[in-house]
Amino acid sequence: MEETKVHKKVEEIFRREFSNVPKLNEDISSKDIADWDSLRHVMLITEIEKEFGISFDLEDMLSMSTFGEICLNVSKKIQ
Amino acid sequence: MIDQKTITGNLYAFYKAIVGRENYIFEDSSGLEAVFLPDKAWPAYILGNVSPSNPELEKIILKMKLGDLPQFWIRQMDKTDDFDQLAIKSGIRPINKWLGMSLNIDVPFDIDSPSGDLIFERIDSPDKMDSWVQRVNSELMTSRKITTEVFVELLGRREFDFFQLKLGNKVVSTLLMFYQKDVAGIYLVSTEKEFRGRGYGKFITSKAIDYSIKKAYSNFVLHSTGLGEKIYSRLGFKHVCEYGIYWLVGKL
Repeated sequence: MEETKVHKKVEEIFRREFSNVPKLNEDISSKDIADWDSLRHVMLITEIEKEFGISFDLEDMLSMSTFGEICLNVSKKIQ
Repeated sequence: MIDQKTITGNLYAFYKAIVGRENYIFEDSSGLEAVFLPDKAWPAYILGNVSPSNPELEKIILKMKLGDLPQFWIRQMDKTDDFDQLAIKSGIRPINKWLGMSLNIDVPFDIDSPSGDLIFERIDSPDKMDSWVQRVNSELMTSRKITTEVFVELLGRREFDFFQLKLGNKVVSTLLMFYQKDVAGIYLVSTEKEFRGRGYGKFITSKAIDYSIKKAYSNFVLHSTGLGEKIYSRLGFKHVCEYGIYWLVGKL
């Protein structure tokens, strides 16, 4: 899957899971989205896994803290 | 030497002491324990380990899904089993990792304050509890907020000492010490984000330990996220074991 398609799909999930999502760029993190806390992070990753048919382990999940890192890890998984 | 069993014992006793006997479940067939407070978001945990091959595990997960058991689970990590894979298949995700750390010390640190204006104090009245809980909630709790009344109930009990660091009128750091047998457990250490990196976490921990040494405690344990490990290592704490925090992913 092309990188731009991954970004678009992940962005859709972000907008579904969080309210008031600003314009997304690589560096957007939990500091920029008010309701992005540790539990919503798990919900987000779970939705992304379902969408792409992949799974992340704990270390991966805890290490992804920005929109860019999530997209990058998804791209690596589906390669 | 403080071992894993002692650290786990203090952790589980801490939650059981908070909720009281009436809000404590023992799953007889699996050996698990669970703590909760009615109508409160925190604490609500399953405590203990069940082997992935234990037939009771399926029932436990079903009870979590039905809401008969809490949706959060604190489990000692065991890299030799495949609990994580099995849990994920059932919709339970590891959401965090705590390091179990210990320290044996009987001489106070007596560390100088990182700022002349800081006041270290023990909380001794309910009116001081609100700002303490607010600091804990804003720094440590995410979707599950603690209510002040949970802790006001614990004030004055000999198993608990609440401490805070104040800068002027502002509470910048918190710590709760829990005593069980001859072990003192350090919990809910928080520092306001904009004040982190100034040594406040190390300072409040050292002062609370000094206070407890005067009460004749010399065995200290804590459960740290990766963020706090460096602070505690600098005080001499050793990494003994690890715990996984699992969540049955659901609506918030």
